[in-house]
Amino acid sequence: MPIRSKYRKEKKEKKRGRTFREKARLFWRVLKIAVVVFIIAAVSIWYYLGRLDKMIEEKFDQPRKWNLPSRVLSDADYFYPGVDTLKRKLIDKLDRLGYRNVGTAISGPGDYAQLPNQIDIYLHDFSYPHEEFKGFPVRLSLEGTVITDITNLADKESLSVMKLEPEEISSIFDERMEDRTVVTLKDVPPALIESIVLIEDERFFKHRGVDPIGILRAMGANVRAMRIAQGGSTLTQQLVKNFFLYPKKSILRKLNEMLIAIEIERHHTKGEILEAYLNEIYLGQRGASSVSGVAEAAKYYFGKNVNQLSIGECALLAGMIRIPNEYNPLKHKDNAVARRNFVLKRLFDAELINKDEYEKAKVEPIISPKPVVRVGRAPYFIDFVKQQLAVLYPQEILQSEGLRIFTTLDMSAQLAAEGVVTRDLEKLEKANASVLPKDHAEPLQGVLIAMQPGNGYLRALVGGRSYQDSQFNRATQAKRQPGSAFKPFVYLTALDPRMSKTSFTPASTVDDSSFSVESGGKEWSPKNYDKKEHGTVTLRAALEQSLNIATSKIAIDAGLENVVETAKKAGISTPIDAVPSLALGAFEVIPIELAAAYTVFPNGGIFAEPISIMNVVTSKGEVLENKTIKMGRVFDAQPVYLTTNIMKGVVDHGTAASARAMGFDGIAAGKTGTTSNYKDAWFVGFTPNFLALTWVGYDDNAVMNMSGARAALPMWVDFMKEMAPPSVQDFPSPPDIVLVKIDKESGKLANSKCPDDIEEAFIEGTEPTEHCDKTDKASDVETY
Amino acid sequence: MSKPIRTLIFLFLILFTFTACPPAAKKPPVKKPPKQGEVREKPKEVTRPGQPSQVLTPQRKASDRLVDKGKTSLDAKNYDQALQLFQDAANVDPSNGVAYYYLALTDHYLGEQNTAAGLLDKAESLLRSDQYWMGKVEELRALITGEKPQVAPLPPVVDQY
Repeated sequence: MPIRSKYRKEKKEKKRGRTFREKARLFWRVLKIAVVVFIIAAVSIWYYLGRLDKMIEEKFDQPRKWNLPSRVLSDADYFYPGVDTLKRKLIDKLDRLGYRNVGTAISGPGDYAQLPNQIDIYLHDFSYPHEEFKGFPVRLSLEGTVITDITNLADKESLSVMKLEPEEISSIFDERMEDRTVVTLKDVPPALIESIVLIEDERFFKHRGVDPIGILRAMGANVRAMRIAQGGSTLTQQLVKNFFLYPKKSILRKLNEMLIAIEIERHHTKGEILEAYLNEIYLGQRGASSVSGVAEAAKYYFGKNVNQLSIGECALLAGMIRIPNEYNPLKHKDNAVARRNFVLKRLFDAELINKDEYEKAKVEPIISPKPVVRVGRAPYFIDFVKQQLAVLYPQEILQSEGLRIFTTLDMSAQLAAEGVVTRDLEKLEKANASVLPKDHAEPLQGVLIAMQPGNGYLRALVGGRSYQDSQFNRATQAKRQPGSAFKPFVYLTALDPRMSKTSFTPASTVDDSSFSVESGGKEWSPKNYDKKEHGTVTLRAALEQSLNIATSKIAIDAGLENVVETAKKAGISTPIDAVPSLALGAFEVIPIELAAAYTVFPNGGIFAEPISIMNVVTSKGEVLENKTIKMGRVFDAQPVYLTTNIMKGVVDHGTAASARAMGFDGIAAGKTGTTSNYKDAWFVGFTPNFLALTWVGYDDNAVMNMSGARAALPMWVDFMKEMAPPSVQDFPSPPDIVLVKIDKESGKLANSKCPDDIEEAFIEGTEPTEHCDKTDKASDVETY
Repeated sequence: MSKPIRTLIFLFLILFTFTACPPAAKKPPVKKPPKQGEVREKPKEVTRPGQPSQVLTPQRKASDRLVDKGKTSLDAKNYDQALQLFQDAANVDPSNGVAYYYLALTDHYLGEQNTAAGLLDKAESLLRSDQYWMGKVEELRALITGEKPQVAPLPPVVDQY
């Protein structure tokens, strides 16, 4: 007999032979173990449920359940008769704002219709820092593309101005990158709630978190279909999965999902659960961020507030929950129509909508705004704003409190600036390949800053060629030599009788002949750009032609320490030594500071503090920051006017005269800048109401062999032609300014012997008294 | 007629005759022709630069509409909203001096005298050609600098532009 059989036989006999006592002992032993196991299990479950309760309390029982991203907004835009809608790119703006082109007739907020000679817009509601704006329909009557009249279509009243809400430039997310607009249950239309409950969890109001009947039904459906055709998860379970757990499927996750769902249902009403679900549910992807919640989805897919959705749109949104990307109306319209109609049929069958509503909704076209991915908009400006916000608020507040940050950015100007920098740098590299260094590792970089001098608003900021390749913000972080772009501050000092050691007027003459001066123990001798000397020249000619020798002499005569003082008063914070080379901008500035400093010229000596953040508002509408225009007089208006007047000559016939050849019209002033060895090229120019600075150079300070007029000016012209209509209005003149005809060369009063005269501006009482005494033009002698 | 009376009448007639006669016309200076090669200096021609136009363009009209709304907010002592509207007005038309004037006035009410002074400078530079507004600017400047220590009057509801 085999050993194994023998052993089994013995065991059976032994079992049969157990006494009652032995059996009782065994029973008690098993019972004890079972009790201990039961107690351990009960305690563990009790502990685990306690932890779940705590987790629910910590995360779900809060008034604010989600981390809401802060949103950075541009400035609002105004449209009025006379504005060219094509130049201002109104339609592009409407598309970016999520308005929907409905073809012919607008019917609700967010619609627009572009018709011959008119554009109808149904304005969105918008919550401004100090104003709740209620949207209404407007008609812009056009002549060609220019607005001739604005009418409020609700009351037929003619309007002098229409305000378009700010654009969202960027969001500051936490690591989950969820874009969400939180709504309350009462904001959500009943059709949407009914559609979601019907499609996702028909027995929502009957179960207690987990629905065994639903699970059995789903299992049956799946067996019949031989695939996963239905899910048995309730709305509460879906909420738990998205809110507390992770998307990866596992038995443990499913168990947790059920336990938490039951716990939540124990402590919360169906209304609270439904509201959380409507705000939590994932409804697709916009670039790197997710579209979470029905309100955000309504805005993204239909350009509407959730309470404005039609029955068809509600049905589609409910239908999308299952596979958001497959039913995305922006990408798969046919799938979206089929899914919407399926949900509508279910609603009709369940008698939740009547026949008329069903038929109407079934044929309703799905109109979506143009899809807009916000990633990458104004990235350098956003970084600059974030830097300032970091001083005011910790990062976690910015990522969670849903703050709205209103900025001064003009989105149209910003997009134009970004386009110009990219295009013009490419053009520049191609056209000047022969002068640029061969095989330079890094590409040419550029900066464009646009400001409104009258209020200090930063309107556009480009800090480099490609944010993707380099996040270094050259507009706000780089320190570069301004070169001749600094010269206007030398002339401003010289022309200010209260600052200059020597009296100068624009007609004063200076000898543009080589000289040497000791500076820092060394001989310093400035040279002109053209390597020539120009003899006696007027101040005007010296600045218009950017003569280095003459400018250095003027700076020395005006007082170098006074020039430093001028730069400081104009807001330049980088250290400047009172050395002769200062006159030629041989020190470093931050481009944005130079742009701000230049605003004193169009502003008549008043320095407007640069502003980029206007307001910070909480999600509840409380205004946390309220920045206002701040300005103060830092220079007398008269010398500023004289300097600006000379800088007009720079553009008209000086070093920037090519701007006119490039088609830039209207009144403007400015100054080119080129540093020694051609490492930096600048142009800072302005009209009475708009100022822009452009810079071109290499990050590693490599020589590029291009002047400001050649490299930076074309960029400025291209931008200004797009953004600033030709100004017919001149710079405002202060009192005590007189215009006198003088001889262009000698600076003396013009007469018949000096026919080449110009009208020059002077502070009254400083105009020349001597007449021009040229004697070599006898034929021009006036006799009468 | 007595002799003294006749003498008086005679003297009166003599005096009347002399005083009533028009003075002899002065001879115009004789313009001498210039000598050969002599240069006649033209008198210095002095003009003044033009001032910014305050013409009611659509842009100005839009800006003025915002100023009006701002004034309503200012009357209601809703200073934050007033500031916002005046800023918007200056944004729409940066050469609208009236918008800067009201910005200065609002800042003055809010106790921001330095800011108010800067804004008033800007207003002044744009309104120089307008007597009415220059008067208002001077009035406000006196209040800001404290030359007239008195409470600023509420802005008039209707102003001329």
